[in-house]
Amino acid sequence: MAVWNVVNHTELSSGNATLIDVTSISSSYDHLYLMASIRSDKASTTRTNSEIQFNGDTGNNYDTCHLYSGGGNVTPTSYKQNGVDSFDDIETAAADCLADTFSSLEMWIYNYSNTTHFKQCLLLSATPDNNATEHKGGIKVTSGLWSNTAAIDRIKIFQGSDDFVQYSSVTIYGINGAV
Amino acid sequence: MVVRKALDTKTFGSDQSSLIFSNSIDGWSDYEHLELSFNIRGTRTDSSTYTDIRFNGDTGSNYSTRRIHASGSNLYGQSAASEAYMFLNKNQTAAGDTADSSVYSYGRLTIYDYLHANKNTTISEDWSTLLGDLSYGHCDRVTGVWDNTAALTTIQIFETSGSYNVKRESTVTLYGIKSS
Repeated sequence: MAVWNVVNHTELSSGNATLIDVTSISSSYDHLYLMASIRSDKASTTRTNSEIQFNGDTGNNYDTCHLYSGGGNVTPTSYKQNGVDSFDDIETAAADCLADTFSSLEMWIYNYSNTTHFKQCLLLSATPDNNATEHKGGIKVTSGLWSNTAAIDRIKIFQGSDDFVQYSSVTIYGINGAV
Repeated sequence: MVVRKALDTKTFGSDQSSLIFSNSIDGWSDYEHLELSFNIRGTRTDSSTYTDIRFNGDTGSNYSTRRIHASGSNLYGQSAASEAYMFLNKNQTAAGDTADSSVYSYGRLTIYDYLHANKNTTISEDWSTLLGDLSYGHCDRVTGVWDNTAALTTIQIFETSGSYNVKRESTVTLYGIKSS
């Protein structure tokens, strides 16, 4: 049995508002792992936010705690978002970021098919840039909780009102433990 | 289909100035992303050193990084733009000031879209050094970009802070990660 399995891979051939909306995810793995390389067309800024929802749930069932640094020589900040309608504030490069540069995102979704527990996630997102000014790029380490015991069978990555640019990509992996 | 595969492991049999992974490795062109796993130490005798990287032998000022850094009671963000290699004076690495000579630093570096012709090569990294006498440690979360859309052909790993070498028995493994 393979430990790592590709569940879905999407690379945009042109700009699109929703990067992926993967449905009917099999429950046959232990964990899900997501890798993304994303950029927004949002104008007049180097960075913006992307969001993630599970199972089409638009209710206020998502909680996050972020550790954030804009990269300046200042102490990083932490903040939380309780009872919101998505995992929000995912670092995303935007139109004024260095050309051809995309943000990175890793996301672990632990025991995603367990029907007893709420779902815990770890998100690592970052916007690199060649401008060293504070907040022109950013790094976040985020813990997330989806307060729902349903097995996750759908993952949607989107922005509030802007589009992802061409070549933005997402891969979802299914991870198996020992048999 | 193997989605994630170790492509090459290099163990330093002696102190060396650098090592290079290149596209001569079997399977180099078959993956979406690369990942490097470091267990590394420098030869500097009077202090710690730094582990740095160049892509495709590019010595131009084309590398920019940002990081969250914690060391002892210090916690801060840091940015560096347009430098001559990735991680300049970051990736603090165990060396001669470490009380226990058996301590090697650990790092995990992900290289995104390393063959993509329309994307700069971006990286994310976790780096950890805990000195052997447990008096001091370093922990970093890093992002970076190489301002170049060329496909990666080489990854050079070396030590800075002067003319120091990578110490023998340091180990670096290169993994390929597929997307289909």
